[in-house]
Amino acid sequence: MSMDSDEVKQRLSACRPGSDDHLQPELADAWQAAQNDPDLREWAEQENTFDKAMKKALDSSIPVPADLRERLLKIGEAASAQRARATGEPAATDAAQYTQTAAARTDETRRADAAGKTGAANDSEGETANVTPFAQRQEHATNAHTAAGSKPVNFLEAALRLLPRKLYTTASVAAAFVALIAVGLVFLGSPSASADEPIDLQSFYEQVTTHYSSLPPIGWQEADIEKAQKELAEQQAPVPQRIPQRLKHLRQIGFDVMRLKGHRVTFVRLRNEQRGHLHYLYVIDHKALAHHGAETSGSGEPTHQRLNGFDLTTWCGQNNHYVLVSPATEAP
Amino acid sequence: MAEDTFQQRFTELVDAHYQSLYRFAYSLSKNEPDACDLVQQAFTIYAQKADTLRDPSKAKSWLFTTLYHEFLRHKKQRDRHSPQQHEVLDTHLPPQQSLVETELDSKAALSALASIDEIYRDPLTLFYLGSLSYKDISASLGIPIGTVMSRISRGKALLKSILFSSQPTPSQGA
Repeated sequence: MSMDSDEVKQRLSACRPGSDDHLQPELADAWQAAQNDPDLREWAEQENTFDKAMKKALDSSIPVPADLRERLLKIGEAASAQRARATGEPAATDAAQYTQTAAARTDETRRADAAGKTGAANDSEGETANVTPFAQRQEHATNAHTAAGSKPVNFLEAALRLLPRKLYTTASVAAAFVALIAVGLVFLGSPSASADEPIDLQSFYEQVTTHYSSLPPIGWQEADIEKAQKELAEQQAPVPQRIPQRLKHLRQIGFDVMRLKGHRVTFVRLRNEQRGHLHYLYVIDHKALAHHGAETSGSGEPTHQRLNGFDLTTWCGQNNHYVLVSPATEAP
Repeated sequence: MAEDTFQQRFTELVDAHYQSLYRFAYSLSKNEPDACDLVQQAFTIYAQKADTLRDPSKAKSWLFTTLYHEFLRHKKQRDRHSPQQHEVLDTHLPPQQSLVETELDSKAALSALASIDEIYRDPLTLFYLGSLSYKDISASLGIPIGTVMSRISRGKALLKSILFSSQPTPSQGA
């Protein structure tokens, strides 16, 4: 097969320097042609030199964040722990519960994207962590209700089969009715019926700082605060309402919802544009916190503390408790 | 034991590719947090799907492909009306440079790469920063091999025209 020099050059442009790409079927002819033509051979050498220089320059032009590797390894740890739990092996790390959020969220949003509707996904994963994304929580809650309802139904059905045949049909209808009421009660019961454990405030702070440390991805990229509030309200997640004036310079990037001990926690990613640092604002309903009356709904004035190497700014709103986690020494 | 193997494999994969993945992500997103997100998402998805990846040697291109798709998905969410992409129909190769000096200014290189149209930038970024083969680039971007070759070739010509001459920027010439 003969080809002109432009075609040879075009093909050989796709050869990575130092690779054996030129041995590939698509390039072998072009490579051979270049070897037989001094001009083309010289061109190929120059191209190779340019590619090496370009790669070297580009590699050094984009510094990789120092902590990225660590954050990625946490994902591996989490996945490994999750797998171990799935197989019944005792292995769990703090990272697991948090990066699972990211994992499931990614899957959730991908499927939701495919369905054309964010947050409409279902996830078949079992609830194995304390922290799960919102969409997962809905699924788990449903599973829990179903499980709660399935036992009496199965038991009744088994018992009914012991009855004389004539009574069976009538009793079956009655039993089904009772079962429906039972299931209905589970579904429609008061929140306290399936009450999630209240969270100790200090434990909450500990958990959100650990969560923040991995800078988990967010499911909703939304810079418009009002749109985010609307979406969160629709999701029945805590809606950030009261943002202190001095935090207004932080730009909202997006948000997501996770679950801590069964309680929904909204987290909003904010960026300090001047310094380029990320902050996460966590919002939780007062009622989800233990002793929420006294400790968590005080004057509403922001207070600061340092925890696990991060700065926490906390304050209270009418319904929610807010925690802004920032890089150390960068509390707004 | 199996999980040790998984975690070990995962760590090896991170060590082998996270830097080039990050640079690729950065070249797409133009900012650090989004680039970190993209890399994390790619590895997160890998952690979920690792068992379904039949050929471990494909993990690298799989990660790049996944990252690229995640970027496109986010981009689609951000701007539903992405501008129409036009192929540069007539790109003249600049005169051959005598590359005696092999050092390129890194900022100039990045700037040149950033300034060219994305239909050339994406394959070139995968070529340089990802060190992906043209076949893997073809798979990652979902374009035919011949088109990959053509775009890499034209893209390099555009880079050279920016780096070695004062010719108008290629995207302007598109």
